[in-house]
Amino acid sequence: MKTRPAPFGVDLGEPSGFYYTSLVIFVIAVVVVAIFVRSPFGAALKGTRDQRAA
Amino acid sequence: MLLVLIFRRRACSAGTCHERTFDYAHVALAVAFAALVTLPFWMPGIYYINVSSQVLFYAIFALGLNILSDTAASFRSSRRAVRITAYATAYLLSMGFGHTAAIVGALVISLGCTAIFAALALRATGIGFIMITLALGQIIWGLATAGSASPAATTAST
Repeated sequence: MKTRPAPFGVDLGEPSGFYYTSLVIFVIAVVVVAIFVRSPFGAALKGTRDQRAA
Repeated sequence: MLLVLIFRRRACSAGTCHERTFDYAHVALAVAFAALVTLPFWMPGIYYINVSSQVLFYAIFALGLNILSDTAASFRSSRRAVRITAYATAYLLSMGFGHTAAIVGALVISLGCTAIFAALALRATGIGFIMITLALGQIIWGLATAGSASPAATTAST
């Protein structure tokens, strides 16, 4: 039987610990997406979106 | 009601309000972030804290979908990538791997599968692209539910 993991000693069985873990991951995801969108590759993707072939 | 307010503010932070250049937007973001950080202290019960965690999951999911559907790919292919990752995580966990190994392994598997699928599907456009992604999605669903007797396996997915 698998139990919930405890990353960095945070008890994921406890609601607020679980909430804060998801909040940290959410913030990391937002930052990563913001960096991605502002990167040259993000600009290229926006370009393909705005100028779709046919 | 509060959750709805928070969710709206978060959806705003996820990129839709980027074009607006009010100072107001930054203030709203700061307030929303403060509300998120202190959320377990003012939420009336454990149930609402757990619901808030799930709201955060869906917010992360929406971030990925926003990137994928807003730029080039289709909803279907982005959802399929998420599904492959979920299936692979569950499969690796059931094979006895640890959590970290299962998560990293599932990401690698998902990335490899989507690379193969992209090489196939991106050769077509329009209705052909849709049909190929649909077919690949059905293959994944069939493989993942093969031999399963659960009712979920008999309902059409994708």
